[in-house]
Amino acid sequence: MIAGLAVHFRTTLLLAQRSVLAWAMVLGAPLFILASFISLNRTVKSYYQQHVPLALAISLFGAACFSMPAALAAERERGIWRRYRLTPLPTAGFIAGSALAHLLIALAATAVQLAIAVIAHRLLFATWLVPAHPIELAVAVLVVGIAYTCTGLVLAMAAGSGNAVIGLGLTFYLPMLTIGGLGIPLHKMPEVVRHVSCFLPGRWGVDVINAALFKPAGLAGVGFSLGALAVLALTGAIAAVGLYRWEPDRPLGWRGWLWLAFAFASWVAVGLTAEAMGVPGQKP
Amino acid sequence: MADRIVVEGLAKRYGSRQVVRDVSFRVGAGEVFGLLGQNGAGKTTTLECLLGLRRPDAGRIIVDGIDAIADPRALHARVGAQLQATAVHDALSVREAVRLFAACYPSRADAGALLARFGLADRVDARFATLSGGQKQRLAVVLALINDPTVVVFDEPTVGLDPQTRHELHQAIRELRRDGRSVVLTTHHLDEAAELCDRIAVIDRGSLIATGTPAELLARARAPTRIALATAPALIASVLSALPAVSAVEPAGGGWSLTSTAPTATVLALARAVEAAGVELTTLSVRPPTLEEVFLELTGRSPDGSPASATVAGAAR
Repeated sequence: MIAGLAVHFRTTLLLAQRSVLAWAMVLGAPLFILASFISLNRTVKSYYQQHVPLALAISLFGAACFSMPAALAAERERGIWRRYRLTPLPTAGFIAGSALAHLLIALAATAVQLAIAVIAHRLLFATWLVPAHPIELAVAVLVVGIAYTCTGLVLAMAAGSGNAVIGLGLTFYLPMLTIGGLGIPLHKMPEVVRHVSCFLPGRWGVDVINAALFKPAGLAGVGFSLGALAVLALTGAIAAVGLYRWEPDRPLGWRGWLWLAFAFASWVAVGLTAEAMGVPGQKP
Repeated sequence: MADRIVVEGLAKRYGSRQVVRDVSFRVGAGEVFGLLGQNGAGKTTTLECLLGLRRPDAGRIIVDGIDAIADPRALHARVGAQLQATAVHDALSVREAVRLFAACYPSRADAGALLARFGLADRVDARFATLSGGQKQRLAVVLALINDPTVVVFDEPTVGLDPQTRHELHQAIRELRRDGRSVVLTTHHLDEAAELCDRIAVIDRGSLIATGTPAELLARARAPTRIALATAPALIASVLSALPAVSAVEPAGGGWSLTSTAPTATVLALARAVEAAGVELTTLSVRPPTLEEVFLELTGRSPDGSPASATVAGAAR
């Protein structure tokens, strides 16, 4: 069984490497955004540094919202999951393997982003950008990657096709960029946006990466954000299992809509808890 | 012949729709068993239950001694399947696809030998997207056999294939039978079923309405025999319609087509009528009922779904 899943894992990496969408959304678009951040903030070091966690979170979110769910939805659409079900191996193993392979790719792409950001920092400001807590940064990126991947799994399971994932992914991605804290630092946004962003998963990821990169307290100071990501990961994974269907032509059904509602209810619950704890008013 | 597949009292419902009801059949080792039916008749659901893809609401399925409902994993190790859609990633090469699926099974056939047997040995590095329709279908067969299965299931295996590839696939199915494997296939092509299958089951609206060898089904049919003839000069229709057991006379191909329920009596009387009229018989052929006509008689529709009247008229033309 392990050998079969290992070959599948390697095959998924190979397929991602051959996918234009994966290259574009995991590396291309985030690099473009990073380049924009560098260009726009090249004269003020503090502004530059505020945007580095955003770039890393965008890289992870792009992979989770586009390349991974598009690959999974296309596999179901083409009957590949049905073919997997005809093997003695559990289909869940194939799906988890695919998600893991895409997470690994996203982490690698994020490492590339960080390396570019560090080099650009050296070139622009003549000092190295040294993470305050390198190990915690690795943990933070991993936790954010897992939480976003679980959110992406909900997309993959809900969408009827690879193309539908692109549409759904955009409806997640664009609000996350504009009002979710991924594209613009939240402290620069109107107060109402800071409140709204608590109901979206993007800001919690930026928060923990930012803490590991720059805050003296590191992850110890962002317990709520870590908890929020854990809740979003757990509820996303549970909803994805509930939404799972191997049949290419089976519609979502009312049960599927209930699982989707469950996944989004966890966003709302996190947002309401954040409001109750006064998180939107806290200094970033 | 020992039963390798036993299906008893199979039933499956989707919501309020009963898709399969009380379906029972047995398939022996080295036997090719065909499931015939229109789209929506319940063939694919029956196969999906047989393959452990769907859990039936009622019934028992034993494949090679394995309870397919209780232990689908063990079942999948022994069964190979080629489903309607060829499920391989476009960007994978033939070699990579074979390697992927071979790694999923505890026992494996010789992949190189399979690829050579199905004419794909020189295409191992080609991406799936670049294969022709026939090559894709042959790869699907290779993947169905990669675990060296004792039971192989084909769902509409020749849809969209050119005649050459279809012929090759027929040959492969015969070889599977020679190897002692059990084959279950669904098809719309009744000529294919008659040619390949040792036994056939006709499924209609979820129920099996007839099972037997092609010869048994034909013998059981009450479908009439068709007699085609031409004379010079031509006989008039009223002479032919007066012949015994003739139920219909229609012009066909410059001559006539008679429908007879007792062909021997009709032909003997026809010979006498031709002699009495002093004309020359230039063509005479007797065609027994076909499997398609048997299917029509049993279900009231042709396998592609057109109503019986349209198909009979088409056949008469």
